[in-house]
Amino acid sequence: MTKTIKGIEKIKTGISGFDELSEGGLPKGRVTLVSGTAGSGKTVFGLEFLYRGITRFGEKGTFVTFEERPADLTKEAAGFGWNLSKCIRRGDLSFVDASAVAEHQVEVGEYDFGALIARIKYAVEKVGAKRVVIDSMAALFLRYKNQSLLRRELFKIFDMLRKMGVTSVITAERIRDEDTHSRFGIEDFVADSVIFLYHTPVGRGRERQIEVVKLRGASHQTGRQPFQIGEDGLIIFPAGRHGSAAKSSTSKISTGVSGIDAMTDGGVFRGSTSLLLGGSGTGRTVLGLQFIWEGVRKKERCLLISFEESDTQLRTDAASFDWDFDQAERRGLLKIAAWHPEILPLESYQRKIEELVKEFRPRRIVVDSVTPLANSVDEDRFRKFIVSLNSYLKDKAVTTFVNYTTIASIASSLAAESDMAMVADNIFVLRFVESQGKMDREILIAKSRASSHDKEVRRYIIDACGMTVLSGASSTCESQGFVEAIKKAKAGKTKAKGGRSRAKGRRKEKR
Amino acid sequence: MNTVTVRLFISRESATYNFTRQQVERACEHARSSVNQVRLKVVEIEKDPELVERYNVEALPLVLVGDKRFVGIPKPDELAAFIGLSQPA
Repeated sequence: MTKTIKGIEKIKTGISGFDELSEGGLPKGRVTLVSGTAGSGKTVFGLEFLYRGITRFGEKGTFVTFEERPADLTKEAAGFGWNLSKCIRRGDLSFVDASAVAEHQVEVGEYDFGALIARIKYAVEKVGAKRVVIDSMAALFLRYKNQSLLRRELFKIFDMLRKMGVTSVITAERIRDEDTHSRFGIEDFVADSVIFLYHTPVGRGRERQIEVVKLRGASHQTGRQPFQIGEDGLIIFPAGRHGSAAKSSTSKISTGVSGIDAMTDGGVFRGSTSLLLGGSGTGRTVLGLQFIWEGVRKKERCLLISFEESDTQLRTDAASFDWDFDQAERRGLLKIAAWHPEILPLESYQRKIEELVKEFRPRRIVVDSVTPLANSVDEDRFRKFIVSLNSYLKDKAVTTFVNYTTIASIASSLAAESDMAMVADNIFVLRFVESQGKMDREILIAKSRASSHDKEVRRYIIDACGMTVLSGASSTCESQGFVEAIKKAKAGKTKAKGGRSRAKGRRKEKR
Repeated sequence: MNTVTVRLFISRESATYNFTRQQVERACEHARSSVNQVRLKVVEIEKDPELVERYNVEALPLVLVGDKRFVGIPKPDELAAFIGLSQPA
């Protein structure tokens, strides 16, 4: 439950992804400020911190509320499946209800918060709480006019919390996302740890982000990370959730297209990632379906994820080749998930994929295609997503085909230098070519890690049997240009790297 | 008989405990000239935390007269005048 990093003991919050983001949780026995704009998820953070503490770690909690009534909070929590009433009945949770605003209150002289402190202490001792949430401190600033007196008293409250040894979360409001301080400067009192929540406009919608600003000198991930408020609480997506402990396999599996198997010296390595690049109509989806069907034939569990076609459309497409996906599903060999790419934040799709992988344990996955995802976010975020997803699937030794739509003119540069290309073990470029007044299709293996592969461009056809690579290299002028373009792009990149290292060498010599 | 109840929430540990209590008692005494009966209830927060919670007390000392709340040590004459005005009809 607790983790010590460089002398700072942390307790796990149990909030999905937060303990990875904070590298262990919140500093034990300390006060952490969670600050965000209205609707950014501060109260949910506090509620979940307490609920997970009770249900997962056996740590009882106290919630001090200045805004919502306990009944409303209980109702809100029930929406996430958290039964706070049960926690109260069992003596695991206590409330301090300071939500009612005394309308006819006047300040006639000096005061202290002795009563509030006594109430918190009483509630904590009543259940033996180890975790305390105060939501939200800003309310006190709105209720009391003498701000300097108020500040002095707040110090006393935080001091009392520290002395009691409870791990506390204090929420406070920021007026705008870009503000570096909360309203009323509550950071001045809580110097230990500060977490910012954002609810930032992105495109036509808004996106939630979280940032650990400081964590009492303990290590943590930096920068903003996306999160969402899911059906059962917060889901945070820290960067690089998976290590690179991927085991490389030495066994190859068939792609389902014998011609491609021949071009790749026996198929693709189990657990590898293949990138299918090409324009619309080139047959990338067919190749993906064929790869899946090959898995089904071998009685391997296969997962087909689509961000473009509907579930029904994919089944119909497969049926046109006589691949009975319905039956494969009934036999427990296939699962299809078709998702609309713009409904959820990018990272939540990774989580959904991970959940499916955990539950279904597929040996093969096809993602058809990631292009709508790439178009919905900036390049850097998409790169992180791809790297992280690839790393996860490799950890699970799942052989993956990732489909990416691109026009032929940039396929060569994508194959040579895109981030996706870097993480892919194999790259198959598919394209149309005009020859003698008709359109043909061609395939090139631009990359096949740890394998000798065919360097020729080859024609293929798609008929009632699926994709078939034709024997004999393609010999059109366009095809030669295609190979040259990829070679050139790769050479250009090597040259640039070489240039940089030569310059570095020269600088060293000068010194 | 018309009765006004005055509740004083205070901490036994407060340095101004005696002074505050005297001021409120004096105010109640003054008020008795205009009000039939004034009842003072002193709530020491250490003894009755449930009552502190029920009345949603945050700051001390707190004087409660009806729904009016005075935070801090009130001046006896001002408090007495208010108690007088608070007499139920």
